[in-house]
Amino acid sequence: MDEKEYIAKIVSGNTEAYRELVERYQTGLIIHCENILKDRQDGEDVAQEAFIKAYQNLKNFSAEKANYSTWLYRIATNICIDLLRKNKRKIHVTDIENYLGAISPGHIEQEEIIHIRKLVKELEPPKYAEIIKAYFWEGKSYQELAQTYHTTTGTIGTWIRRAKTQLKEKLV
Amino acid sequence: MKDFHFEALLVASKPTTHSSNTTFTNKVMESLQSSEILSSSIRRMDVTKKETFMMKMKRLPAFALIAIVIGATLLISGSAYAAYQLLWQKPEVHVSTPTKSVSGRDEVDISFKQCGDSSLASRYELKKNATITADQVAGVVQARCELDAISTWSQKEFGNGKDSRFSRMPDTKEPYNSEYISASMATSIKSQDTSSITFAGLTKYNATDKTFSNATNVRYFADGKEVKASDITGKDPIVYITRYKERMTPAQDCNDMHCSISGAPLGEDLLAIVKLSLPLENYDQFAWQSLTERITCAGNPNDSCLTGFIGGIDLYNGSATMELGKSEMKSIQGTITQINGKSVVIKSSSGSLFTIVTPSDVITNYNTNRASQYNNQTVKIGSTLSVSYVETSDQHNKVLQSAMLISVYLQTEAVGKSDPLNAY
Repeated sequence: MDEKEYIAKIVSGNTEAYRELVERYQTGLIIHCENILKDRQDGEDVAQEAFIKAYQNLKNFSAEKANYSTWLYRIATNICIDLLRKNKRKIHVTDIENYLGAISPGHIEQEEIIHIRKLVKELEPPKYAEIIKAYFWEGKSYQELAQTYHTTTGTIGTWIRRAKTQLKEKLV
Repeated sequence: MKDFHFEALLVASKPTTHSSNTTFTNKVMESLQSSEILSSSIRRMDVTKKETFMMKMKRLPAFALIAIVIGATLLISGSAYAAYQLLWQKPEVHVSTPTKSVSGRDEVDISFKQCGDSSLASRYELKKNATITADQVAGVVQARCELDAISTWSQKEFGNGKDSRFSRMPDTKEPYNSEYISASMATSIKSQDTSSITFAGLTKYNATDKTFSNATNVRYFADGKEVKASDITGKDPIVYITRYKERMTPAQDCNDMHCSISGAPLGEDLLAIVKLSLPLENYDQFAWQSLTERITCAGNPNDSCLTGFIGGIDLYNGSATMELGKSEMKSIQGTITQINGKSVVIKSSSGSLFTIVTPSDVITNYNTNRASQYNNQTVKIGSTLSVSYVETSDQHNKVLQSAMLISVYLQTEAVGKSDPLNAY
């Protein structure tokens, strides 16, 4: 079932159908908000609020004009920016544009997806593959990963950074 | 490839065999169920209040969410107690015995019921020129909660279902009509006839009497229920609900992230009059503004910082910026214990000493050249400074060098906007 069908179901009163959209976009949205706010808990809070706001305004959403994901990310980004402003934290316009420009998962070719999955599987050491899968695909936080691997969040960050470097080198 | 794009690629590559975070999904779905049922409280609230309420909802413990869902289920099934059938509920506020804050002011802890969140408590301090005493705080906070509840309900009852957040950045650059529901400040009915109503002006707010000439379809409410017009008299404290309409014109250089929009009024319709439950003085804006909330300072969890209706005089604005992924913005407040030219030492609420280093002697410069413009409020030993700075999360420097500084303010306080400026 595609996005439009889910949205039609939700708008017609099937709240439970929204679970599918939350499952589909939560990991990316949390990471997106975490990247902006530099805080995992704040990122999760804003992502949750964005899902709720998107749900409450779904009747106003036009699937002809935009992807649901783009709209959802826009809502979340606005909440993040408001939060940063409220806390008087500085953010540059170029950063905001980068954040918004990054969110087009719908434009990725299937071949590219398969290629990335293969590269993740081939990461060395294999622990890097586990970490990438857990963080980017299963939505685990640095804190949760640190507990699983009996290490610090700083080390998890280092492993993720190294894994991304390996992947980027192979993708170019 | 930019990291943002690369991460988006990674996320999008998730195989369907990998499960998502079900705890997160369940939280969202529980909130939706709660918010569906409590939509009378949140759906058409103004943005600020909605955010506050939602953030509080999210922090509710699981049992509280379950209780909300059970309560709401009872409501749907028709088995609810009468309390659930009220359009809004009367808030309850409990205030602790006053103690002295770190700055020697009266301070109270407040817990709420029926004020958005029953699980959170807040700490409030009375300002130096407060118009109320500590024993009046409960009434003032309860009045504030009641106004919030009425405002919330009115958005749902009379709103058009659109969230103003999304009309803030319109898809079109063409002018469009906008309307919003507004609850007035607490006042009373001055005069009324078959077709018009005049509400008493409030001289302390420079508000004049306000008359609505077409008031034939006005509805009346009291204690969370719709009542007859005769149930509300000129002696009763009330708020009135209006629909305000305006023509909005976006600036031609609008883009997705920035848009300035000018509005021209098209009219205001009177929709409802709501009787309040406490004497009018409890709803006084200045009574509410006599309180300052103390919250944890950003990045300094052992210290408290003042927030709310407070102000500050710029002493120094630095060029430090938060580097995404590397640093975060922190804040600290404290009283000055030493002034040594470019270096100032402040003592925070926890007793920690922070040294603030500026590129030049900003305090002497301010005291000499600028203080006269600010009611002669000079910076001296004992003055309170509010400092924003940038640092990595794992660093906890006690010497804040100028390169780290975003801003240094002299903390001020006032009860009314037109009050003489006073240092905290």
